[in-house]
Amino acid sequence: MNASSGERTGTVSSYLVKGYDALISAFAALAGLMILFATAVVCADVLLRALSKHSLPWAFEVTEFLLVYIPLLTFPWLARRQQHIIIDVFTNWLPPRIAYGLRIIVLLVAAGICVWVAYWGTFATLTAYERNVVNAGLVAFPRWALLISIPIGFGLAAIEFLRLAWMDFGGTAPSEKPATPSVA
Amino acid sequence: MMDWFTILLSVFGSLLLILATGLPVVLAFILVTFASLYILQGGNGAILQQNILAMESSLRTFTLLPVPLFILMGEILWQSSIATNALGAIDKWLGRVPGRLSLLTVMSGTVFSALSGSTMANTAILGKLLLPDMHKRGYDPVMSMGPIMSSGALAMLIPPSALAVVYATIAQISIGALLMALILPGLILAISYVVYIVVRCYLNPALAPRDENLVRVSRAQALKELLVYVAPLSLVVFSVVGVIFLGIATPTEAAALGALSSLVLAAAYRGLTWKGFVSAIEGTAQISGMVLIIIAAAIGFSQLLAFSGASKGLLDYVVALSANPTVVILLMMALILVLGCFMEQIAIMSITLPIFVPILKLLGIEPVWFAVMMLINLEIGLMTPPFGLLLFVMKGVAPPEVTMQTIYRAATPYLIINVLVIGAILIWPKLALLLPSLIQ
Repeated sequence: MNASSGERTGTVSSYLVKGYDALISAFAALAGLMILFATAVVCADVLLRALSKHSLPWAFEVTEFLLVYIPLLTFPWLARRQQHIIIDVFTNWLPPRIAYGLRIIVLLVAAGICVWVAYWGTFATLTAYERNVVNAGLVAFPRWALLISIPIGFGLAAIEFLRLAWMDFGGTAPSEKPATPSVA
Repeated sequence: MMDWFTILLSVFGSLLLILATGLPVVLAFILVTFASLYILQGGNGAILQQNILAMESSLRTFTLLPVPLFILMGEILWQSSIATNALGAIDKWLGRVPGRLSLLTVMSGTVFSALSGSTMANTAILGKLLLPDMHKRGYDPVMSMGPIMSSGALAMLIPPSALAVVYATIAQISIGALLMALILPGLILAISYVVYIVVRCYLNPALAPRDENLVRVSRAQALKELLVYVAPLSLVVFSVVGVIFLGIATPTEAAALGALSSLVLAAAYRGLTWKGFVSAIEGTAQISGMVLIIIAAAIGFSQLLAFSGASKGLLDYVVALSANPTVVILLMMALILVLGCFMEQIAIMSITLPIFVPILKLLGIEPVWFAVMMLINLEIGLMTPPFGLLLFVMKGVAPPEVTMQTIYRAATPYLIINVLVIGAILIWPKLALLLPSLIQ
């Protein structure tokens, strides 16, 4: 089921929802490209070093920056697809009505936690910006540009959790949760 | 200030309670960390800003890159035809041995484990390719599904292993040393499975009925397939393990070379479609995102334990007990075994390591040795009822009449072998520490 179901097509709000959905997916796609880019850069660095006198001294730091962006860009996307790792051993045993109620509460709490993190993440970003904190290394990269991914990632995830709660409440949520893959 | 025991009890009690509600693990960690810091600081929120900076710094770590790259390798193996081809080639080399298809499963599973870090993909591939044939020939579940799950699970141990990188990051030990340390125990497990299968099938041939119509191929044909479909895979194995062992590249660089060589091989066999490639990238972004954010939250959580004085209090207590290190290890292993029945591997590591690591350090226990035992123990958790992940993967690929009880029964002998191997490593630490000591 599409996350934006329930919205009438053709209205301004439906375009906003579509644009917003596309943004979340684009963030995830960007994270995927970053993984490929990191692979390419690190390989190029090793091969250049082995085959010539050159290397890519910036490869190390740029990869580190990407490692901050990758999980935060995928964070709201995973929230929307309900793919964050959860322990469902106990909730699976609950009677359906209680499980339903608990699920809505948990989604609201999840949104609340995301807002809390986004709030302090914004402060951390602003502080780094005002103090002009720059990464101490070969690549002068402002720290606020990394930190800002925290309020953005968590802020958007808060919206996603609220949407899921709203869909659950209105009975339009996907009836079955998609299978969560595991790193193991 | 509260005493350390009250802090520890309330932090872990509330964490477990919150996890049980089904709140995403990452948010459960953040909630407990933030709320505890806020309370301990008497309502001063500035400490939360510090914690956020710490989370960001913990992600900005070059040595974490193997996590997405190892996941990418698993996704490529899953999406490409590398596994199917390799399995066919290995098949041609097995003659009329007892438990033939079971042995083929273990051998292929071990080879795939050296190409991928995903136990789910490994188990699903083996199940899809081999289970129908074994089922048709009347193999006992212990000889069909048992080997599929146990050798599928080897992917967690034999490098590339994303979980080993996660472990090493949270426990702050050498990633290269841990990856090397896991090779020998992984192979010992595989060999133990082989011995078990051969002995059981020799004693009771009905467990794995022989294939009377086995078509023999010429040695030349078998050799050709081995050279075309299996030998080139050593390029991937060398990219990951060889370059670390020879000291040519760091584990992160090795992971990048491994991912690149997987892609090159998949392309060379023309076994990766554009659609498959896009799915592989999507799967990688998805699992990497899930894992990396939990690592950040887990590191924030361990800082809470240090800041609150709970870690120090616990350590003083352990000192006062003057506990025997072996007893401590056994207790820790027992705890992991129990948690493994109910929880996901990364969640278990995130909860236990912030407490275990300082205790191990205090008692002078070799951290890499312990890590190997704990990872095998976590692997057991993939197959223990009622919630082992691979049991469900197996159920998904097995014919509908196969019950969960049958799958539990199939896994049991292999679980016992795993426990015995942990025991062997406990008695002979060299089994884990030999290879790391040889790194150039």
